[in-house]
Amino acid sequence: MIRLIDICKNYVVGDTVVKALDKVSIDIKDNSFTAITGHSGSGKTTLLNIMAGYTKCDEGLYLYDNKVVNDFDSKMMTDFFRNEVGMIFQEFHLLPYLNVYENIRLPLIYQKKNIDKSFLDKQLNMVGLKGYGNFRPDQLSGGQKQRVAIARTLVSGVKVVLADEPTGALDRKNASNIVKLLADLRNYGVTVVIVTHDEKIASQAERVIVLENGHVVSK
Amino acid sequence: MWLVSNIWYHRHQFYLNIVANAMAVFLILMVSILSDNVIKSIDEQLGNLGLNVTMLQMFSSDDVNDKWFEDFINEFDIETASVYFSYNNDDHVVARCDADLGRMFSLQLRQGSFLDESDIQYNNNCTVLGSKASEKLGVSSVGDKVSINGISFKVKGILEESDDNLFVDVNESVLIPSGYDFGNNVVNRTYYFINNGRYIDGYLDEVLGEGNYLLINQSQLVNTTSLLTEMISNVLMFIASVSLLVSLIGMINSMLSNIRARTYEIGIKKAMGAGDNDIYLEFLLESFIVFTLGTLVGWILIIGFAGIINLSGLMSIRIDYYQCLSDIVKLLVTGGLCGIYPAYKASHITIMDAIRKV
Repeated sequence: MIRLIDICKNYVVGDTVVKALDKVSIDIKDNSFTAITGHSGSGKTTLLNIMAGYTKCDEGLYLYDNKVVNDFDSKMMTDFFRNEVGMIFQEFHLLPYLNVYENIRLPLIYQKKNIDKSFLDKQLNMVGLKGYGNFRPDQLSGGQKQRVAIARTLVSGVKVVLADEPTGALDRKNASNIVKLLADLRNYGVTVVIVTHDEKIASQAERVIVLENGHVVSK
Repeated sequence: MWLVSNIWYHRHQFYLNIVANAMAVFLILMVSILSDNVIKSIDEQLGNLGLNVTMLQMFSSDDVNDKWFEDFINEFDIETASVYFSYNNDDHVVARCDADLGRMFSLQLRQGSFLDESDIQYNNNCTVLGSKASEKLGVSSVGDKVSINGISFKVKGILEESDDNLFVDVNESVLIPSGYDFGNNVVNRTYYFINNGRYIDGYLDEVLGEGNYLLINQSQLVNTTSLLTEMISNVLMFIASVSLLVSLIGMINSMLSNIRARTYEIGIKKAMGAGDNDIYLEFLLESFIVFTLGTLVGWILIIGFAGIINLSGLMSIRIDYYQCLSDIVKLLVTGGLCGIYPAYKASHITIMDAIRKV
């Protein structure tokens, strides 16, 4: 489903050019659970951002379902975010002025879909937050916020979930629960790619890709 | 609904915008309403007095030569009404007048009738009272008797209260036939009703000598006053518009700062599938709602202000609601347009901008 061929990404810092990714080639299969790991600065987040479509690579080809993502225009990218790929962030990024129901419903608003409350309750049930619909983010723990973020990502029916250090702000127990939740998404036909520097979490994935200095050293 | 939640959450950033907009809108509407009322008041006085009423004041204490007077009237085809004013201790004005005075000044009667030709010819003991004069003299109906300088007069008519005009304080006046002379005249005035509209200054200069008289054409005076009032109104409107402009610039600046502060929120919404147009419309609508709230507050302030002024009796303010609605619609359109640039900037924030912000 996802093919990255000889992806290069550079950042210009003053007069210095920093190679974040150097000819990275990866294939991610449908319905798989993949972990991308490596030290800080190895290019994990940059790779994930390219896969999410948030930034474009300087060289190389990004194919999603055999479509060239590099050539997507603004409208196509918006459709890509709405229907294909969802991101879970380390900092959760829930909107503080919306309650849990409204946060989860946000992608559906932009898809112009009217969904009733029972569907939202089903999503909450799926992530283990039954009855929390009217809570505001500041009333939730870190683990609960991340669950809401996962529900928000899934509600629009995306096929791929990308997670950038989803357990970075959580304690060990909550981190373990979140990783388990992400792993269970395969049962719903979702492909999961998780970026982490924690090898213990990475080991729970079916496949681990190791990056070092912008290169793939292990697939 | 979530847009309302959004505005409520960021309300601390919008308070000052709403207050500034409200003050600017209040100023604009106040200038518009006040100048409109003043101009209408002048127009009403103009309507009450007639366009061609002219005041001629003689500086000489001698009476006008009758022959000259006849020639003058014939020359210019004018009607005249002479009034001799005097003041007594009761602080009302006794005015000896002709029967034409009521017609020339469009005096409206509350009760009874005005002095007629036979009253003037036979010097009948009858009087017409202004509204305030009747109250001071304790007269409430036609037929009552009043004493003026020791002579008993029968009340023939009581006038409606009218706005002060430039020449006659009608409300305080006690009008009696011109044949009575109590010997304490203060001002002699002759009012001309010019039918052919010819300019008479040149004629009077030749006959009376330049500087021996004062001729004031009332319509000229009122026109000048109207022009002055309009000019002042335009200046005040300009100042109020500048105030509005400053408020709008402040609002745009505040919105841009707000958008910078909400970069991550915009980025996250885009990650959730919001398109550029979705973000653009959201922020445009937000600015419009904030501006509308400010306009609404300004509108409430102006209604309160008009009510207080009317209650105080300082002046009578009438609000032309259609005009106000038109002004408000223009203000709302202006406010909406001001939201375009900030909304455009918001729509061009990328997801990477948001991620880098965090």
